[in-house]
Amino acid sequence: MSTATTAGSVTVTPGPAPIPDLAGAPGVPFARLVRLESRKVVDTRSGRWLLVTIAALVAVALGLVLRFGEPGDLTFGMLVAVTSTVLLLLYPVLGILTVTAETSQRTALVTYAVEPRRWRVVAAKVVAASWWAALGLAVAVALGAAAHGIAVLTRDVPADWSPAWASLGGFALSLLLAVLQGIAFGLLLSSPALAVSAYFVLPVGWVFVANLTPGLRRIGPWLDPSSSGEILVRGAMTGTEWAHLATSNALWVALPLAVGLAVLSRREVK
Amino acid sequence: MIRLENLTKRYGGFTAVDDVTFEARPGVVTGFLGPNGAGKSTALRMVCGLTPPTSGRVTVLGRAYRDLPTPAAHVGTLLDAAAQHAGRTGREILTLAAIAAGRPRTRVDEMLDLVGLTADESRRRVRHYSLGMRQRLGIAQALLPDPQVLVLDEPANGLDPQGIHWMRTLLAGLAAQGRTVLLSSHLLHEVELVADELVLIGRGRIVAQGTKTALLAGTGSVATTPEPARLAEALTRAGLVVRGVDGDAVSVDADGERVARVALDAALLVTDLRPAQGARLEQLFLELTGSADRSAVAA
Repeated sequence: MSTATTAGSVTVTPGPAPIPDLAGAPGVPFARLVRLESRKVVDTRSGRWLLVTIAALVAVALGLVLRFGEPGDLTFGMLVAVTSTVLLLLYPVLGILTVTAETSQRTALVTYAVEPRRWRVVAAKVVAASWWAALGLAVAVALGAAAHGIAVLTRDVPADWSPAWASLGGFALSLLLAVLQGIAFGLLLSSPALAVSAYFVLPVGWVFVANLTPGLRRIGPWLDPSSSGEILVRGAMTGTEWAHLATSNALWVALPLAVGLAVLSRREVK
Repeated sequence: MIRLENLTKRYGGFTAVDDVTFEARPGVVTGFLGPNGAGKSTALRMVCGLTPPTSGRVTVLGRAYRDLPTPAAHVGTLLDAAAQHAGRTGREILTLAAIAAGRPRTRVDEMLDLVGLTADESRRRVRHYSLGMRQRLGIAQALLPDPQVLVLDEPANGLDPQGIHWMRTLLAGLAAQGRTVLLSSHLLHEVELVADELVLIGRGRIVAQGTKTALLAGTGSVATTPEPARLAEALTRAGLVVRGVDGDAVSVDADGERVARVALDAALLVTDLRPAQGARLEQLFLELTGSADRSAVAA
């Protein structure tokens, strides 16, 4: 408080402290929670390095394609597709860490004392992680454009700046789903190492099992998000594929998210 | 104002907090005292809505914690000074606290000054903090919102005697402004220095509670003499109850004047005579510590 004066080593607010009138007072504004969670993504060295690493890997991938790719691969749209591979691989880790750091670093004691309605904290984490993902996407598109410019200048590639809107939209939606899945796995498994390995190993294991089981192989695309996800990023979705995307993500994103939230709301925070 | 009513927490067959009822009132520093594993931390986490109680209820400022509209603005908490992200700087942690409580950033520097962390230290990562520095940071974090209610779990842990004295002045000042201060400790002398009212807990149950003056008021006196055996004998002959002889000190259930007269009549030298301060509470606390240690269960 600006009225505070210092007496000895004790800050004393003059007069008796006011008793807060809580009746009808609004709760913690959601925008404030988002601001907190968004800041927490980058205010540690590990968080900042994750973002720097993603940007560096995008640049390396583009460099490799520029050097070794066929001229046909060097359109703006194709180069953006290259960046999407990196982002879709690593942004889920950011989603996982925003949730699991609360348990591994024990900051949950503070976080859920600030907002006891824990689902609101998770919602804020989703918005904050999505915001950083959107920023990552913007940087990736800019780097893709730069790479195409270099290709036009140095490798006699015809300029093709058509942005492939369907593909870009599919990229954005995939990124959102990937971040959500990371957060869901983080909620469900709470240990960072466990959540990260489960995120990468389980889908591969699932495909392996599904390929060996005739019944599962037939309904595969309905349950395996990677097949429709790939088409989504290419921007070639049809009605059936949208349905595949919905059901498979219900299984891999919505279900773990719902179970994770239910567990979190009852869990003892220590 | 914090009220705990018949608060109970069970983990399977183990009862960590057993039917605890007490009140921490505004204007008073309430000390929650008990050996390690007595259930203090569990009770304080239940106050802050982090641990769901098995039965009973807690209210803070008249409401359940999770029904407070902006708890971070009204309740300052320090539940574990070690529970900080090791990669954040002290300043960043306080900045997050300011955002959470909706307070201006200027509070960050005010709080750093208040707890005696230098600007240089505040830019270091918490990983490199000593226990005492973490403790000071935690106190700064709890005080930053200028809260009505303070809940501090072992705030004096890791502070040197000077630091404990500083904290006493600080908390007494805050209580004098009409704030509610509830703190826990496993050290009797620590809580004796800081708190006005005491709640003593052992194995999840409250074993004693009241004002510090009432709990620490000695019944009887302690007389120091070169001839303790003869003094004890004289006191017994005079019809007084001798509680024990410890070296050259004789504890007796009588006021100082009575003891002095007996010594005078028996022509015995007494070199020191004083009221038995806090003997009862200390005894109780030692018994608790002893029995709790044997059945210690990590809560």
